[in-house]
Amino acid sequence: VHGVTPEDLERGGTIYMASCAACHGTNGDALPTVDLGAGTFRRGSTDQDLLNIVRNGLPGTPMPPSALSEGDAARVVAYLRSLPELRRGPRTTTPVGSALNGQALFKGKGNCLECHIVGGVGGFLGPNLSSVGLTRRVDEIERALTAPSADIRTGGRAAVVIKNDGTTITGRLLNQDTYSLQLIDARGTLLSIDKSAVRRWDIPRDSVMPNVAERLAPNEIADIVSYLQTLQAPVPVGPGRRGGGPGRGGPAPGGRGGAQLPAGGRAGAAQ
Amino acid sequence: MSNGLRRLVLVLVAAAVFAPLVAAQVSFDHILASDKTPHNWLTYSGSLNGQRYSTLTQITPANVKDLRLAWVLQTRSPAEPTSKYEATSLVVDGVLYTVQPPNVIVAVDARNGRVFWTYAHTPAATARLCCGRVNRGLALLGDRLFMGTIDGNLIAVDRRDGRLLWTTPIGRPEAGYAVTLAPLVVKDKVIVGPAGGEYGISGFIAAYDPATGKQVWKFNTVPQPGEAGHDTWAGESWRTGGGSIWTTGTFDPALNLTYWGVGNPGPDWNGNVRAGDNLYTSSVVALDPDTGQLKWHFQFTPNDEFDFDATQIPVLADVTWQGRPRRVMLFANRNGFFYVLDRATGEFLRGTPFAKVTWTSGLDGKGRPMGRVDVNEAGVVLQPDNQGATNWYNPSYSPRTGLFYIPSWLDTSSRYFSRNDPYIEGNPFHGGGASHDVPAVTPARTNQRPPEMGYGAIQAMDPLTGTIKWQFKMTDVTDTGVLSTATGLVFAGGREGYFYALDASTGAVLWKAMIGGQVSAGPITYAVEGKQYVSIPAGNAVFTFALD
Repeated sequence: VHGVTPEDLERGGTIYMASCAACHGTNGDALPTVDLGAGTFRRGSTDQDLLNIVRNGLPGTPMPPSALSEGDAARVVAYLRSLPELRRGPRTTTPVGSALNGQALFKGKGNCLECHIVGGVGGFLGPNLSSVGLTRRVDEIERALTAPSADIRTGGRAAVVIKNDGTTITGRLLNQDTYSLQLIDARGTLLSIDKSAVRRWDIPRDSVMPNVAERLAPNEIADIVSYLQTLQAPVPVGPGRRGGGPGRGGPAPGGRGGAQLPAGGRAGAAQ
Repeated sequence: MSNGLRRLVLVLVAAAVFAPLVAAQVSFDHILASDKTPHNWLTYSGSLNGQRYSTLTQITPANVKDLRLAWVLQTRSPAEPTSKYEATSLVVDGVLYTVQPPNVIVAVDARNGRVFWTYAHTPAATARLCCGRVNRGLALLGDRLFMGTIDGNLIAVDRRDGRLLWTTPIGRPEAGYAVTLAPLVVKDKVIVGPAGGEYGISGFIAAYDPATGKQVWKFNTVPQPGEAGHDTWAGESWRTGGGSIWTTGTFDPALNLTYWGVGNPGPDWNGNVRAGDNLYTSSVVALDPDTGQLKWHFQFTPNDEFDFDATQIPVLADVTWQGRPRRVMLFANRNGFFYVLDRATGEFLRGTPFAKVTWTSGLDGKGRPMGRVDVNEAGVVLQPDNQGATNWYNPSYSPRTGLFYIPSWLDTSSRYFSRNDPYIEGNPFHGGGASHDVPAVTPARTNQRPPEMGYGAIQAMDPLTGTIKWQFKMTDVTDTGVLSTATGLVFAGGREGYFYALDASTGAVLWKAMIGGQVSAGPITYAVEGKQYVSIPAGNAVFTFALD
């Protein structure tokens, strides 16, 4: 979409809110298998692909056709293209730090790799942060560090299980049902636990992430935020995402989507 | 077993094996007397009263633990992959009919799932639906099956060979009209209405001639100029008033009334642009099935700003109400209240919440909500959530236990907000929106929600007291229908992929099977050659169980 004016973007956003947000959510990420703000699209790549989907829907999927004019559909596409930038948003309270220092703190004093993976190294208890610079705004990253319980995303929640012998298992919650819990522990072990076979289990309201303000100075936190902003590995949005995975919280343990179905799939039926 | 008896059994089995499965025509008298032929499941709700109660007795609380998978019918092209297989199957004399999404009828041997024939309607590309390309099932009369299509048609096919007999357009798909419900046959008419409440349609209930597909009568759920109730719509707002019909009605032959729940007004979340009560949206209407004339109505949510469609099944039961026999309607509404109405007159008898309700401070003596919270542009967090305390998920009433079983969403909430949206034909016409902690339409494959975001349950309501007798809690919510049986069983499922049997009196789990897909349809039970089956769609397939 060339020559997009601010007015086009505003109108595109208005139409998006009226016609699309009921299913896709105001941030574009309400559907479990679709993130319109990820910067890449599973069902098409060119503006024309996307415009056709907005106008004609995706037959065989819940995505219906619309009655939008070509111009308005193009404005919606322009708005969708702007979503990643909108998400990153402006820096709020933390001053700009040194990403290089941040990297050292992340691995050293902050001990962040104990629970988080970056670039294939680290622990599994917290969300994988390899793409956090793409998927989270700066203010969200700041808040995750200094007030980790304020906004726990789906996929970032822990489960704590106390076994009958009194030992405790803490893991990241992958799935649950009436009878069982599925977790991954910090070492990457997949655990499926019968609720009836344990003394107690809990999905704590508070994050198990320590408040880094207790161990790092404000300038050090700023450094880490700056470092996390640089983590922009492409978000896996292959057709494999459709099959499930851990939802919006981060890549699936042991598999990064993208390869479960042949590329293209039903997308070819879009037009 | 003696030799003589064994020979007799063999002869009977042989006769049954070679007997033609499609037998005599199914007259409306057969449908009226469906309780006399419990081996069949002849209508969407199993009977015209909507109870989803079976008098088959082979499967009992004592032996239900021995239920085993008998067969699976997988969806395959031209049907579409789905997470919401919503159709209730029909069974006639050993043949099971189902609809795979969006509009593919499949006739199978109800004993083993072998396919006799498939009829695939290819919907027009202009079809548009708010919430998925779904179908909830079929109606049958004589040798015909009737199906609504997502591109706004009612069609008839021959149930012997799946031949298309006629197609009647009932609404324009490019304007958002779709037919997702299972039609209802009453006497010599097929009754349906259109979905499309999120597209600003003008809703109606209409009856068609089963032989020709010609429209016989039409009742406007949004009264047109000159019709009673038109003055409950400010200005021109009636033109885009919604009032969709997307679940199947019920019928009382003694009163000669057919009952239908009516969907939300349009636009969904902005009541200011349509000041007034907005009849007959979010209401139940009682119509004369011969003429379509309105006999009475009861509106659950006047000037609805929460998308609280009253598209639940109006279940008809005969009870002793405060010392005297009374023909009542049991209605668990999306808005969180369980209502008991006199179904002859529409008189409000009682309304009690079956979930946390904060959108209103309560109901007055006539059942009208008091102190309703107004939705505004900033947004307001209320309970139940936008998907409702229940929805189109079929409830069940057991005359044996006297309990009404409600598939419920509990402790869920939404932030509701309004907005001024222009009406553009064929585009969503919402007038705002609502947040969903719990996915309303497209659940993730995994559930990582904390408990405080709400849970699902099957609740056993005592309609005589308005109290919950027991509650079977699930971690995830459920879109399941419920089946109850004369032996004291309740069958249901959920999003977790379990299909299970509960003790109808206590809610204890007596049996469960993991079938790996979301249960979004109503279970049925039927019998062939003396063997009772229980069948449920889940995910992309139909699963059928029987005792070994």
